[in-house]
Amino acid sequence: MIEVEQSIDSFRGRFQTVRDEIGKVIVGNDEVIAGILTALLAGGHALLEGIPGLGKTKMVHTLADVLHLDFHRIQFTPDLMPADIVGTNVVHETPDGARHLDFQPGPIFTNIVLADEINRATPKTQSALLEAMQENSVSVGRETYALEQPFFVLATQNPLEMEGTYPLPEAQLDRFLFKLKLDFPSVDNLHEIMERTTQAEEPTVTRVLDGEQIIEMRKTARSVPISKPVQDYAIRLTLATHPGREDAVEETEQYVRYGAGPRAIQALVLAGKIRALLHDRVHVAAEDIRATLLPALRHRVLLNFEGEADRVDTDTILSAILESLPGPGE
Amino acid sequence: MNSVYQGHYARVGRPLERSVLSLMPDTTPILRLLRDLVRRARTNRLIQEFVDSAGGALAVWLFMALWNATMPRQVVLGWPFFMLVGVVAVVRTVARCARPVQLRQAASRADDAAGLTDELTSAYWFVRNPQEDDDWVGLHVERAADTARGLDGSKLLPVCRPQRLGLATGCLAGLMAVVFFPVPRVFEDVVDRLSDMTLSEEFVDQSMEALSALEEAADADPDGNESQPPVGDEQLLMSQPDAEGERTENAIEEDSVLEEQQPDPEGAFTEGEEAGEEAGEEGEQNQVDNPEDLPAETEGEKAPDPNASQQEGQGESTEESGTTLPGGDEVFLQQGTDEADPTQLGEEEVGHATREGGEEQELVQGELSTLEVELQREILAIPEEEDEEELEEQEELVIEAEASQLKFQTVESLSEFAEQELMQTETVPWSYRDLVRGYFQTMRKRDNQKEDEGR
Repeated sequence: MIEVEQSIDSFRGRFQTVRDEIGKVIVGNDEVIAGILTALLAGGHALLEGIPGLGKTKMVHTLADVLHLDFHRIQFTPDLMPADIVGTNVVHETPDGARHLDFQPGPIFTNIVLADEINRATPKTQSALLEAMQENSVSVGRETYALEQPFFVLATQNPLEMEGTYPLPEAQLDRFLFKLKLDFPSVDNLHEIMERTTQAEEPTVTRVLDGEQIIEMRKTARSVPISKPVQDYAIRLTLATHPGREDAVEETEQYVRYGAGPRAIQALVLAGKIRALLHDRVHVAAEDIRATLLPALRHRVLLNFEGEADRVDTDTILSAILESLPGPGE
Repeated sequence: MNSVYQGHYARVGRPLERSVLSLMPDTTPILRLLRDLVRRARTNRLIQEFVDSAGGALAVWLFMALWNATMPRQVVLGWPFFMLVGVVAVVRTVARCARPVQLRQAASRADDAAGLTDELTSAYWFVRNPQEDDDWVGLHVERAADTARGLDGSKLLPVCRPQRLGLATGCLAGLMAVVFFPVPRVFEDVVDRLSDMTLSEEFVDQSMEALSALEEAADADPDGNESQPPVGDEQLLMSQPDAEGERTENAIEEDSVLEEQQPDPEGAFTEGEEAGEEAGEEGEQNQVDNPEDLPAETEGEKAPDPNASQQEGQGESTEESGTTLPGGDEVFLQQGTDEADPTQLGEEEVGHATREGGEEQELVQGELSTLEVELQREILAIPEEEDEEELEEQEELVIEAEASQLKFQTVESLSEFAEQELMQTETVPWSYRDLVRGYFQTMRKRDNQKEDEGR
């Protein structure tokens, strides 16, 4: 029991340390930072969306600086090929003239991958990340190469209304634990950004967390128990995104083509566990599920033609579901 | 084994009794709190349901008391009715209170009341579904037990005031007021009038009898003034209440007109059949040639046609002659005929017959009056073009004669027109507005240049 409490305190302390360290560079967007760390500790990946210039790349850079982890950045462009990401076999010639194929690993072989502007690459190239994100391995030719843990993909994308972008395939979207939206900073935050970035020396961060500690934190997070009523609540919330279901709301019936899948429930439960730990609880509450519903499901709900035509935001549908669905004790 | 588990064997209800006696922290505070909350919830529900049922029964009782106090016709309901109402109220209360309050619901209630973010709900589930050797669950239950120790059930779920207590109290107070204080019979006048309306059925029967007597008198009327009732009948009619009397007089007049148009075959033919047969030829002569003239003839007493008025002026006898309606129905019309007219010889006998019936009634009648009427000319065609002045004069004449008929039409307000126009107006899309503005600005520049060149 004491070990459990120690692990909880350790988890909270490390989490807060990383958060504070990132906060030295990044102004505001506390929820986004918490969401990125939650996705990292839950073993998932995060997708950041926002207009250019909001500090998405800077945020990921700062995270990589805070963690004792390898970091690669891939700038996605329309002519980027899958081999440019996962790597390829190249011919090596020995001094004695013998030739053999050597696998040249791509930039995905690292701990943290920044897939910058991922929606500027073609779907074919985007799909190169599928196996890595789900299986934590890469297959090239007949060989399968395991990726080093922890493996964490942070992708940024511009809103789809921007020119020259390709929408991400649904299968890849489903592999992101969270989709986080960056808001434009407030006036106070802009003042703070100016003061920090226009001085002679920019603020620096120190590395406070290594890979082993992250894996330990992941294990701690998964140990949090969740009662069946709360888990049932997460399932009902997810099923309510499917049109034709019993709990489906009017917005779901009208605008949704496909609802969220089982990965969404996993994301809700795992993120709920981490949030419970951060609030010094050893049980997952319905409040945790509700708090993580939007980032966990907003990219997993596919709109139909009417929803696309009316420019319906999936957050609106999810909010309606939250309001209509009774909690586990009700 | 963890020290927390030592000596804590929890017995937490029926499912756990037959499942396992798991090593768990002391769950007694949780269960004690939840059972206390269940008791309180049951008490609150019992009070609530009792007040609801009592309020309903009192409302029924109050309604019946008010009815009997205000309405002249009292509804006497004996003790079986009130027994039935009471039994229904008791059964309802028992049935609704018999529903069990579960500990899970109590835990959820406590979480909401104390802001515990599902701590008790989750802990209770783990208590009922123990996880072996799970330190996390043990810590969770232990924390929940500590929380439950610090909670007071009376603060979480106090005895609440029933929602419909005011209604039940109001019904009780109203019932007391009705029982102990007299209530004015506000509907007494209405009921009296209703009873008068009930008596008027007898009046209708009397009127029908008077009507039949009138018909008989009209058949025997030697002057042919059928619509004029006998004195006795008139007095009978005038002796009735005003409204009813007027209505009945109107009904009798309408009926008499209808009788003239479509007489009862039995009544009309009994006395007029022989006369009809004898005056068959005369009737054929008087048969209406033009069906449009029929209404004028049927209203012969009030506005007879020139021929009829001429006949009335020439003769003093009255007879019934058969006329045929356009639909083929035979109608008996009263017409004044000239005794010197040789063609009316057969009708004199009929006049004698009717005169005999009239003598039996001993009617007092004045001299016959004449009415010369000139029929309005039929409009065969409307002139295509008329001067506006003539039209205005015609309109003024019509207005002065108070014969204008103006049908009202719904006129929409100007705002509705404007709204419809606004809704139907196609606006320029926002994306094209810059183009439109640029176009007009370019045109303006060209126009300015041309003006400058012209100068």
